[in-house]
Amino acid sequence: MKSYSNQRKVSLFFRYLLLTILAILWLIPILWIVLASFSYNDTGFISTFFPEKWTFQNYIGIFTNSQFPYLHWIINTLLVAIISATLSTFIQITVAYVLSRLRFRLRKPFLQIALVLGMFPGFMSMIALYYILKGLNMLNLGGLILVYVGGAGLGFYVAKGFFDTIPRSLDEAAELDGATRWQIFTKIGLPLSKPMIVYTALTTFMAPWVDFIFSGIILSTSGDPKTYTIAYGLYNMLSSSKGNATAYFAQFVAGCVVIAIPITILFIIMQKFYVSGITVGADKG
Amino acid sequence: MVKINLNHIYKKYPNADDYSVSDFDLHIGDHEFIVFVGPSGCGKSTTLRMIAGLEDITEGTLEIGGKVMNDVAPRDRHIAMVFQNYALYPHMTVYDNMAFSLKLRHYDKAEIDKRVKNAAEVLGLAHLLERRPADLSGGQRQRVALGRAIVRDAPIFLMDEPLSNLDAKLRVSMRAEIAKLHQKLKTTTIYVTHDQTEAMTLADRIVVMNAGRIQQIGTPKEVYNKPANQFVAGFIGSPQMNFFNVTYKDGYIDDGQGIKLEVPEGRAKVLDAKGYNGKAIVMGLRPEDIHMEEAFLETWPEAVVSAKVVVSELLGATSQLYMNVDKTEFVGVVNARDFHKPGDSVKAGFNLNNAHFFDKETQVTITD
Repeated sequence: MKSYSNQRKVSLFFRYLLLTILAILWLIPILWIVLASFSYNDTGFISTFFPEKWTFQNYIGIFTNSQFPYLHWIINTLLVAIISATLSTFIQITVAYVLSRLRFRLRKPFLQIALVLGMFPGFMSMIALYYILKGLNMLNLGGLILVYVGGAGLGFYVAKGFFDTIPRSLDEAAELDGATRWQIFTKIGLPLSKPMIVYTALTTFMAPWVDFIFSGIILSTSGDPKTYTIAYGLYNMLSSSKGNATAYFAQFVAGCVVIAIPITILFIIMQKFYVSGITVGADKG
Repeated sequence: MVKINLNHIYKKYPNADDYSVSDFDLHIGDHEFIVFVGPSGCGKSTTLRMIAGLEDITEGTLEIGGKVMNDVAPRDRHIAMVFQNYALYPHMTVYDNMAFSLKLRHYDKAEIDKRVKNAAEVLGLAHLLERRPADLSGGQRQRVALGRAIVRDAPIFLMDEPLSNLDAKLRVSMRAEIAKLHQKLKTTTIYVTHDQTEAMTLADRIVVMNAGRIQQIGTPKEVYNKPANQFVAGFIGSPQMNFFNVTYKDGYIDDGQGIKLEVPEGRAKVLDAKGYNGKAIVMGLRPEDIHMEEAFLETWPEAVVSAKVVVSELLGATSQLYMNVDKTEFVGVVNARDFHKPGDSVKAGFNLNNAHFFDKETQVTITD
């Protein structure tokens, strides 16, 4: 005899089992990297999962490496990420708001074109971008920011979907209360979309933080490691050290762990904003 | 306080084939409480939104206080509006919700505080000022929405089905509160509803609409007692007016199903004069004009039909009896003492002095 509650327990058990297996699968590589970053080695690649000898040397090494200016990379990346996140968030949120709230003649065609354009991967444009930026003499961090911000407007779909859920009658009420379009946006639209702004800021911060392709093609021409961003710099540690790669492997791993820290902290802090639901109470309920 | 003139206003949405509102012509006086009533999609909300400026006017002119307002922005029309879903700003406290419009208009702090506190006092919200809309009940939210309109001190209130999200009991008490508020503030109010009870109880004048057109404008008494056409007669009043498809001939109406009654002399004269003798017409009779008390049946034995009860509903003081005579069905509201069970055979007296007669083709009321 299988009772309903037993059935539920069994199904719950399997669900948790599956989740546990997946969690382990996903956590192992991360754990591996973290452990490797603490492991002492002078021979090259680390061959054991758990360090045979614990050390902080890799972390000290990556920050004091004379050949690879890791600190510069972090500062560069932080600069690029913060500037482009700020600009991209503003652009993306405003574009989304406009497309959600205002009605204008080419709105529909624009939405369709944006959808189609969004289906092409961004790196398709890299050759063209390279030549454009070269022509503008902007194969530097400024050009990189331009590339990241330039495409921000097209990422409006998620935010637009969010704005669409805010009842239009709120806008109308504010309009009758005497608000201008801009005031409706800043005093009603924005405060209600905090979760969306946080989400947008996070994604637009993360993209430059981890991007390798564009930083690679745009920054590689300068040949000056001090202008690199983290992803491209770290790649260089292994690829350009000419047979010496193994010597830097442990430092490379430590470098990877360091750049993961800010994103992780950001996520933990911003997590609560993901819980939307502040629109509750606007309508009947 | 102001007068509002709606001069032959039309509304056609882009891509729509037909007009949503046609030839809406209405002149609203100072302090008036006007109710637009009609079934869903009749254009009443659209008209209200055109007055507010939330919809463009396709044709015709809207004048408020003597000035043409067609192209004036909503915020400059000095109109306060209460929305069906309240439209409270969820991220603001009750206080801030009410103060929002005043802040936008740069009133000084003391004045804002005075007005908000005042409105909160009137609406019994004083203890809720620091709460957010999410922490309020439906009735309280409705009050805040009203409060937001009151603090503005706007000369015109627009209300778009403000009570339709409330439960039945709350609706009745809020209705009374809105009536009280209007007596106190005397603000010119336009109120949209599909509920004829709200229209009857609140309005100075009712505008009955159907399919984008005004059917009748009149006081509640007028639209109830002298409906302009069959639509108004059927829409106003609950339960609905009974309609009988009858033939009028020589002072008698006959529905061919067993209802054959003499038309009172005065009414018959009008029908004769208008040339309806021998023609098919529609007779309307309100449920309360169907009688079952002995006194009526004995006094007017010629106005009595034998009917069968199909459904009976006891409402306490009255009972509603759904009856039929052959295939003709009608409902009567009678004293609870005259309650009958389904299947009972009853005698029903038709008070034809209060009957309404409509032209079968045009559905317009036949009057003298």
